[in-house]
Amino acid sequence: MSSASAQAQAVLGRIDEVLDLSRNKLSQVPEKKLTPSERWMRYLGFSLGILVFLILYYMPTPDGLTTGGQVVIAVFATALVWWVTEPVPTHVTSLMLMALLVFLHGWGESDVLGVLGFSVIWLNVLAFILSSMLVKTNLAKRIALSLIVRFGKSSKWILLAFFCLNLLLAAFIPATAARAAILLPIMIVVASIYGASNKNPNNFGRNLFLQNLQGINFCSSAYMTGSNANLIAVAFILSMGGSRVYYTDWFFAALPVVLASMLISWWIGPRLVFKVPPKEQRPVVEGGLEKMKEKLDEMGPVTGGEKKAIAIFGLVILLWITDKLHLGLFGFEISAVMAAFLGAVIALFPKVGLLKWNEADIPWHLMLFSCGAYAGGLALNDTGAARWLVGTLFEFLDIQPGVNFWLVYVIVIAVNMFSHLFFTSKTMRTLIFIPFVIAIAQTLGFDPLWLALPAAFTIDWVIGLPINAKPNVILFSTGQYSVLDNLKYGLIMTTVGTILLIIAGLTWFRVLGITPGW
Amino acid sequence: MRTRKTSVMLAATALLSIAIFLVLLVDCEAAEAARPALPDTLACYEETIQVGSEGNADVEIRFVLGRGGVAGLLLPFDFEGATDFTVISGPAMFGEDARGLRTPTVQVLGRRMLNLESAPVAAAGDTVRIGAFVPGWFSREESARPYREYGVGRRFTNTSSYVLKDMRLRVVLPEGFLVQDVDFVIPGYEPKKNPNPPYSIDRFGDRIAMTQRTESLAPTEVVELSFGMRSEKRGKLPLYLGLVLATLHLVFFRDQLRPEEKN
Repeated sequence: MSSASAQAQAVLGRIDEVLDLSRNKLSQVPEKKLTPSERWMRYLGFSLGILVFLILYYMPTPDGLTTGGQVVIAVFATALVWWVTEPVPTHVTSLMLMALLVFLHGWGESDVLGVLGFSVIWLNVLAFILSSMLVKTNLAKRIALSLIVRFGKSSKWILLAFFCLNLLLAAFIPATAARAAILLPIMIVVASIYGASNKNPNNFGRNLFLQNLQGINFCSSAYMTGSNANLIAVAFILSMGGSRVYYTDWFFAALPVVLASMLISWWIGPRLVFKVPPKEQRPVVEGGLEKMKEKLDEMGPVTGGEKKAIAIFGLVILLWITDKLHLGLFGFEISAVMAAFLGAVIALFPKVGLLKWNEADIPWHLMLFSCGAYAGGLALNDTGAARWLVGTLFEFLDIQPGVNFWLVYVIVIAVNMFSHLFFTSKTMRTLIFIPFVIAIAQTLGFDPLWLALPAAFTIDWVIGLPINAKPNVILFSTGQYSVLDNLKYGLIMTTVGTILLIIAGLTWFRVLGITPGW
Repeated sequence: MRTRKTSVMLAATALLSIAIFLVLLVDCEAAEAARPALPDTLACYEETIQVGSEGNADVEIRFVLGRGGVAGLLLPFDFEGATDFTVISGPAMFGEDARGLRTPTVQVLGRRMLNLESAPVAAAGDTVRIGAFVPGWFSREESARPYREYGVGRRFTNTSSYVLKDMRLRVVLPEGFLVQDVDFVIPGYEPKKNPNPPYSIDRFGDRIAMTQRTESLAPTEVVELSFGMRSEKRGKLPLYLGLVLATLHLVFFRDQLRPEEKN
């Protein structure tokens, strides 16, 4: 055997080792190997964050902003710098943010501490319990192996399969965190088979997790019911803009944009953004795909434990899908988080369930990270700082009557798209932006629908940072990519999404009568 | 005794309500012809409280006469101990009491009201501005909060029989003070129903003002705003601490630039 082939053989893991997910615990914070540029960012990021804080904190309070709001902006901006440059772990930055909000009286202590009890945090915890159940029973391994055996000739088909899965799930499950919970264990197994782990992340893993992050989020924009924020936007368009948007109006307009975004992301991800080298394009296990098939066959028929896991998870998914029918069936509505509660209780119940508490792999550092992100975002909203920032931005842009519609359209789409980087909640962003957009349209004499509906299609594009949405935090827990990786791919795809929506506005939306015709 | 007092208050409230009801009921062209002197609405009603550094306040009430135009006006005014009443501008004067003396305020059904008469030349659309001085309106000791902040609040009940259109309630902060946070406003702010907050923080000359806006305030309705304020001066501790930490990090964490040792 030549030394090169021996070396290649050495990187191939034994299949049992690769599929042993106990070596890939999410609750452990992995040590990361940094590139020289990442080391510089970490070194300078700390002082840069402090500098940003001091400038924003000590500048004269602008008109229209409370001093509480100014404190929140200063603290949140510092946290953003630290989250991206990571001079301290992201969860430590979150703790710093929460402490500073209280010490400097940006937000109340009880408000800050209360974030840990928010449904979003609970949903994350419960999602990890359910995910642990799928891992323990080997159901995740079975699904992942089946996917790989079917599509795994090349890594690119696996990535496309996940995109398609996301588009399908988004039609039935509006809760993005729930979709992330379903896919997370499968993704971890697939990543592992292609050599990516939290200790040794590779470009296939980066593509897999970040494309899923994108798929989970922007596939929601294909459906009016894809997220609660979409429905709020539609309600504003009706109440303030006077136009009713139907499910099919939304679907036929947004679907082509989502499909094009998916395909572009799928194509550019492994080729341009995080180039996947040939060795990462195939399973890194001895025996390759054949061995996978063998392993899948070895697993035999579905075990009792797996059946139980299917039943428990199936019940949760059923409750997620049928949320609109609950009121009629039970007389009350079971929220996404309470459905997950039910599943977690059954999963942890002695004898009946499948999981012991010690086997539940819950990354608490991620929960603290989420808390900080949500505390910052909510404080921005509560103090009126977010509204002030958006208002100031539009004021700065100084859009006057008589301006060309398409110029306004481009500005509105770009601002709405990129604004997601500074928000931690889609609902909050919708509540602030859509009324602004409708008001601008009315002031300029345009039909509010022309601007508000395309702007509403940007709501679910929350792909830039782990703090921007619930599934982002869940996927970030895997340690397979850095905040900077997320930002890099996110910014590229946000730009792609902006361009696609502009092209759609000029063409497809005109055909549908959403934007002014020829 | 208490029951009797309550009964009297109830009766007074009932009488006031009936009066208000009747005023609202006869809001039509025919009624205008019958009682031309009674305005049904006051447009652009604005109450501005300029708080001085000692806690005294200059109150200004500004309104535009409505359709009725010329009338004897009884307007809400519940500031205790107010003095120095003046008609700053506009076709109005203070009303006379039974002895023929000009009295800026009168008690009506137990409520203190501003007693005005429009000048004979007054017409709908005329603006009237009334000023008064209220000593000790704001007390630093009583309104002190943690973080060296002060709580400020103003509750305005429309005790008049007029609908106050485009109602603005404004509190101008003492010089060198800023709005820290908004505790609450009445009517409440529901972003999902109405995305625009009913209050704003803006400049009033060199000072900061907190203004609550209401499209229309019917008799007996209430507007209220409550907020915290603080001095615009910020402590220097975060500045020094931040600069020291930033410098120390750059000096003592240079090893972060070295590649990690291979295991």
